[in-house]
Amino acid sequence: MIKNVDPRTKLASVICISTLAIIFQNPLILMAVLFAGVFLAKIFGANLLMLIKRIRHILFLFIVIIFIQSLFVKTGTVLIGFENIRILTSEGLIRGIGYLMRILIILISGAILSTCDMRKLIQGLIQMKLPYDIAFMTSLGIKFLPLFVEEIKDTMIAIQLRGIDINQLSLRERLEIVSYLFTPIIAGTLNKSKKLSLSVECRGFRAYDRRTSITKLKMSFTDYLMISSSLLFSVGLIMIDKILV
Amino acid sequence: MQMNKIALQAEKISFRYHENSPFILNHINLSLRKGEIIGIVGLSGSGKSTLISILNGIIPKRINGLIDGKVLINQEDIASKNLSELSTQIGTIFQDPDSQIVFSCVEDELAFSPENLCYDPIYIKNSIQNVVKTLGIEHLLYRNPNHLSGGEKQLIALASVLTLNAGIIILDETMSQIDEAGKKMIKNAVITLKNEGKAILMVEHDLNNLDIADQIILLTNGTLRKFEGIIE
Repeated sequence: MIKNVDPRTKLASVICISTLAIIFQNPLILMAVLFAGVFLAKIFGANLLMLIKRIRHILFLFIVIIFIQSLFVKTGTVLIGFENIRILTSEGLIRGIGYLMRILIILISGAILSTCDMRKLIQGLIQMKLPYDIAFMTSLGIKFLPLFVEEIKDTMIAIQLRGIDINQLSLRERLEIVSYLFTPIIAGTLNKSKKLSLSVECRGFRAYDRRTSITKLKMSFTDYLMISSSLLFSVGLIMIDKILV
Repeated sequence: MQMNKIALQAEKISFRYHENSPFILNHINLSLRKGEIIGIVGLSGSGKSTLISILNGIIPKRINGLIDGKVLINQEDIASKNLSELSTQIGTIFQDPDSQIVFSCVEDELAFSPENLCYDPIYIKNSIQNVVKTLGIEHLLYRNPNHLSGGEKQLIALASVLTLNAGIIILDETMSQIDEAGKKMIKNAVITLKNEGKAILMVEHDLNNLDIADQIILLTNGTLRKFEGIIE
């Protein structure tokens, strides 16, 4: 694991792998990008085990999406069919696997960014000439996601304390419960945002077009090396893809 | 004597949201001196939060309503000042610390206000050192505020408004969500600030939290009157 990496380096690496994930179709190349993502996550100290733990409940959803994706592709050798109807083809399966790898790369990118200190990430974005307001609001959005999840959990507990066992409910009833949750959660979130906006304004937020900072980021040799490697890796893969095509 | 100068003054403040709505505050007069702690107590819905919002300028600058009377800070009317200008004179610590702490490092949190107002980074660092020393929270400077106790979080919120060296501090039910140990921390910090000459207004719904106040005022039905009882 490399310590004290500039957040701009992490950002550059994430931009590289997520862009590659979007532009490539070839599952072999996507596999290479996925491995590169895992490697980067490891050296940046991202907790991939935690990521797997968090997404384990929605893994089945990915499998379903892959299957649905593959159903729409009719070219290639038929793997599952019924008389003249092509249900699953080899091309469809490859497309589905590619889709899964894209999702995993995006999730790994998120895990890499989560290793950045929020203040340093904002500073990095500012030094990249992004307006402070936008950088601050983006990072605030990331901070408020766990609070939003907590709000949902609290509301769910409140419902369960009223004697409703959600596990015993049918799908239709569960959907009905979700509609009841909507109002308190949205109201709670809006209330929190309002309080926060007043609080930061009372502390001089957006007082001037510019602001000073006690944090100043400086790129090290390792940062330049990592950014160059990410760019070289990206260009290399693009060239390999062109040769393969 | 400087200690006796009036820092914050509300003159005949009346407030209601619309033309046809009832008055939430009615002819409020209040004087807060430097080096003084005034406690305001009132039930939920008595207008405590509205009064704070008027004193720190949130009403009418961000929340609309019909307001009469004026608020003076160091004899100057705040009507012509914007919230950023006021932040250097009056600091407000709100009830819920999670709604005011934005960064994952205490030092960054404390630097936020002076950075917004373009203070020199060297001045900011010195100011942070002074504030953490005053409040006795040097050991928290590089901690993540989200991992601190409720009392410590409120101390961070208090410290973050002190880095601008505001002379008036308003505490809006800051002790309502914290345990006894946390309350003790806040009270000690408030006494230290009082001794430094800060003018402090504490608004609470629990009288027991106001035992450090020099005087307690009761807010009922939109009017203020002196509390003559005894805090047990």
